[in-house]
Formats: sequence, structure tokens, C-alpha cells
Amino acid sequence: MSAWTRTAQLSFGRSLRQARRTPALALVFPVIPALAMVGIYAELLTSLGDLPGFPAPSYVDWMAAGAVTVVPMTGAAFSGMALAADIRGGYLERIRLLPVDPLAFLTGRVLADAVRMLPAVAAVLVVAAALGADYGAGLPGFLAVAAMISLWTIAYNALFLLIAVKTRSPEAVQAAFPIFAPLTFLSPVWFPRRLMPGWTERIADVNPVTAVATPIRDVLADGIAWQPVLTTVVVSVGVAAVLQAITARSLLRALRGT
Amino acid sequence: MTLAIEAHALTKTFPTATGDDVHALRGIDVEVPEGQIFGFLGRNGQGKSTTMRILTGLTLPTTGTARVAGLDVITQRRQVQRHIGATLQEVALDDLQTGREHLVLIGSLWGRSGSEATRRADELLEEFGLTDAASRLIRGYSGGMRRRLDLATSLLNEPRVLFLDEPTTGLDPQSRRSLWGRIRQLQSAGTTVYLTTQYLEEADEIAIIDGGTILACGSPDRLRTTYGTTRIEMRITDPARRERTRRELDDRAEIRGEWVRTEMADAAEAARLLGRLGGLGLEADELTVHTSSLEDVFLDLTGTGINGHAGQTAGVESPTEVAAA
Ligand SMILES: Nc1ncnc2c1ncn2[C@@H]1O[C@H](COP(=O)(O)OP(=O)(O)OP(=O)(O)O)[C@@H](O)[C@H]1O
Ligand SMILES: [Mg+2]
Repeated sequence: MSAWTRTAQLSFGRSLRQARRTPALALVFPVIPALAMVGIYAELLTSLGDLPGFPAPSYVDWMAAGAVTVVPMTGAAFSGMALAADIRGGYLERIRLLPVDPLAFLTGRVLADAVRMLPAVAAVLVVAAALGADYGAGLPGFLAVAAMISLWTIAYNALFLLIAVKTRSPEAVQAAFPIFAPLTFLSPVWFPRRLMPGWTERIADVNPVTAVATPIRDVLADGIAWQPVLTTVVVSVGVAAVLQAITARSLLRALRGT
Repeated sequence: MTLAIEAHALTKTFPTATGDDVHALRGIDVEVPEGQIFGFLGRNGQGKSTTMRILTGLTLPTTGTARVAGLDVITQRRQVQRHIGATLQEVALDDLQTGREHLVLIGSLWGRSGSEATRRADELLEEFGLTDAASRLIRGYSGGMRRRLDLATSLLNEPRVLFLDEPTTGLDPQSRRSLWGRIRQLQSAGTTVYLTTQYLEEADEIAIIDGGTILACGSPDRLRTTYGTTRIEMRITDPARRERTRRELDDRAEIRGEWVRTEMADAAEAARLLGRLGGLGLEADELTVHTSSLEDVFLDLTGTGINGHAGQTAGVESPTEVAAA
């Protein structure tokens, strides 16, 4: 194993330990908005599913896929807060005294955060199933969803890591948490396009969340298919590449400048 | 004599948002031979940490050059860092790891195998008195325990040059003494130790920094004899004899109650004076002779106010506060 991979692996282990030791913030909190939406609105708005031409067997099916997409978005603040604390407290500076690449260390954290989302996603799927959601996906489909969610986590997290690097402030990261709400309401995460007013539909067309939520929904309903999986992969990798590259550059600059 | 640390004409200017830049260093020269314990002393905000951060490759100097372990800290930063260990002024640990996990992680990042890293971690935990706390989260450590864990971290790679910024902060007297024991032990194994601390009597050589430049440099004894004084205090109960003594000392004496006080440049001069007074029959009923401590020298050189530095001493006469600051 190369030194770079080993660094990433060690950082991965450390980040997961961190998450395990702050379960409320790292594991439970991210799943609450998604569960609330599924548990409350899927019940309240059951009749939506009876509208003629509703694009899913029932509203809870629609909700389940949306809620799964939201989990990484509500879990990202923890990633950013942990990184901001590492920078502000001087831990990363200490890492810089070691013969390791800080970017390998950052990579370990990013991957750990992707893994951290999976139990939360599973919890949402189980609760939705208990409320009547029916998944057409088999094991390959669920694995594909897990992979898509992981990539989506890496993409969306980058925004919070960037805020962390720029501000070094866990509070600033936390303050950015609510942006998941407009981003998801301006996409077909919660409601089908047809129920959205015209102008929001046009925003939804260019909203990257749409390009993740819709394919995840398709795979959950019908099992693995290349086109939706590729869409999510391309969009997530695209967003991740751009944002993570900016984050990495800012991090290196921040470490050099102090 | 090989130099472990050699810095020339280091300057560091921090730009600020308000436009008035902070000139933290204004031309620092430091030379530390291999195997020496070198102490950097200076008041708050005079550039000690900045100098150390430049020497450890954490901060770039604005101008000037520095070599550590024979390597350039700017162009060969990576190689330099293989040879050094450092604890910075602020302890930086990860609260959510146990002490052992922390040391094993950093040891592994240094390239040790898992079992090697664990063995070394346990050695250091033992040495720094943290064995009992090893499996507890760092979150629950006291300030001194954190400091000790941080010190242990800096020794993981068996550095050739060790940098310690205020390493005794927060340590109880036992830990402080044991740290000095460890530092001397490292020295006898050939390690160079560069440190800033307020307890400097034990360093081989000391530099006093003020306003971003070095005011004085030398062994503690040399600094004391060069910049210190010898103070004589005599209690003389007989008023006539006291008055004659005062006249004998011209205007160099100060009288307070029954006490006559004067200051001499060094011990030899003080001895001559006492001999002369004795010859004149001007003996004291009680006598104390006090040679400047390093702290006295430090206060003389850098001023006694708690603001500013030697050039701009504020008018607050409170040596104890300065010593504590
Ligand atoms: N990152 C920074 N940005 C701006 N100014 C800085 C920065 N770091 C240090 N300074 C300034 O540089 C000067 C020297 O600071 P430094 O930390 O080196 O002092 P010090 O001698 O270590 O003080 P102390 O005994 O309080 O630790 C101070 O005026 C400080 O405000
Ligand atoms: Mg300092």
C-alpha cells in the first residue's frame, strides 16, 4: 500500500471513530428531517398518490426516494463542522508537520462521510417500507443506490468542507445547513414536477439535486438500469470534482498561509 | 561544530485587514550548535512563536533564510520535517480519540506499522505518566495531561531537533522537573532542543527577543554577568554610622528605614566595596547580597510595563505581573 493510501485509510478510520463517538450529531441528526418528511407528510398527503397520472404507485414511494436523497444533504454539516474544528484547533497544522499529504488526510475524511450516510439511508428506506413503500429494486438495485448516495454525499459535502476551509468556523458551517430546504423544494424530491408551479419547474430542470433524486427514484422503483445510474454518477462526479478541487486548493493555501 | 539551526535575517510581516501591517520579526539571526539546549525568551507578542513556526516550516518568512538539520526550511521543508519534532504553543489534539489512539494514529502516519506504532505509543504513555488515562477520550483530559500527550506526540519520530513552544505551560512542578530531565536525556543522546519558556535557567544558551529583534544572546551565566548587577543591602541601626555609609557611597545609595541599598556592576566590585567599608569601620548589623537572576536581567532588558517592549515601556511598575504574563 502506498503511503498516500495509508494516510487516507488512517484518516478514514479516525473520522469514522469521531462519528461513532458523536452519534447524535453524526448519525441520528442527519436522518431526522428525512424521517419527519416520510413519517408525517407521506401520511398527511396520501391522497396525492391517488391523483390521476401520479408518477408513482403511492405518495410514500415517491417520498422514500426523495428522503434518501436528502440524507446526505442534512448530514453534510457534521462533515464541515468537524473539518472546521480540525483547522481552527490546529490539528491539521499538526498533521502538516508529518511527512503526509494533507489531501490524503482530507480524502480519508470525505470517504468516511460517504460511508457514514449509509446506515441513515437504510433507516429511511426501512421506515418508508413500514409505511407502505414498495421497492422494485433487488439487491443490485440497492447496491447501486448505495453507490449513488455515496457519490452524492461526496459532491454535496464539498460545499460544506469549502465553507469550513474558508471560514474555519463550525458555526458558519452550521449556519449553511438550511440550504438543503430550497434546494430540495426546487427539485422533484418531494413533489412530482407536474405539481410544481412553472417557474420552479424550470429551476428544477437545472438543479443538480434533480439529476440525483430522479435516477435514485427510478432505480428504487424498477431496479438497476444504466441510464439513471450514469446520470447520477456524471452529475455527482462533476459537482464533486469541481467543488472538492476548490476545497483542496483552499485547504492547501490555508495551511500554507498560517 | 555543526549547526542544527541557523537562521539569518528573518523578517515576518503579517498583513492585516486594517492596513497597518504587523512587523512580527525584524531581522532575527539564530545559530544553535547540534546537541545544545537553546532557549528563546521574550515578552508576549515579541515573535517567539513566529520564529519557531518559521523554523518548523509552518510559516514562510517574509525575507531571510533558515536551515534546520542542514536543510533549507523553505525549499526542503519535507525533508526538514522528517528530522524535527515540535509542540506548538496551543495544544492541538483530537478530543474524540483516546490518548493511545492519538499516538498510534500519528505514529502510523510517521510510517510505523500498526504494532510498531502501538508499542511506541505505550512506551511514551508510560514515560509521560498517561498509562492510566490511555484508554480514555482526550476530551476528558486535564490541561496538564493534554500538554504531556502533546509532548509525547512530538517525540514519536525520535527527532534530531526538537522544538518546544512554552512546553511547561500548565505542568505541575513534578511534570516540569521530569520534562527537564527528559530534555537533558535527549540532549545527551545528541538531540538539539530549541524552546521558549519562562523557566530558562537550565538552557545552555539563551536569546532574548524583543520587538522582533534579538536584544541579547549567551549562556545564562554570561547574560547575568553582562547585564545583571549585584545588589547590596545593609541594615545599620546606628544613625550616624548609616549616614557615614551613605556618604561613602556617594549618590549610589538609597536609604529606606534602617536599610542602605546600593547596586554594583558585579560580584567582584561588591566584594571590594564591602572590604572598603569594613576597613572604615562601617560594618552592617545585617547584610544581604543579591545577584541578578535571569528574570531580573530579562526585566531590565525588556522593561517592566505589561504593554509594549523595551523601546516603548508603559508606566506600569509591576514586575510580578510581567513575570507571570
Ligand atoms: N497569523 C497572524 N496574523 C497577524 N499577526 C500575527 C499572526 N501571528 C502572530 N502575529 C503577530 O506577531 C507578533 C508576534 O507574535 P508571536 O506569536 O510570535 O509572539 P510570542 O513571542 O510567541 O508571544 P507569546 O509569549 O504571547 O506567545 C504579535 O504582534 C502577533 O500579534
Ligand atoms: Mg508564543
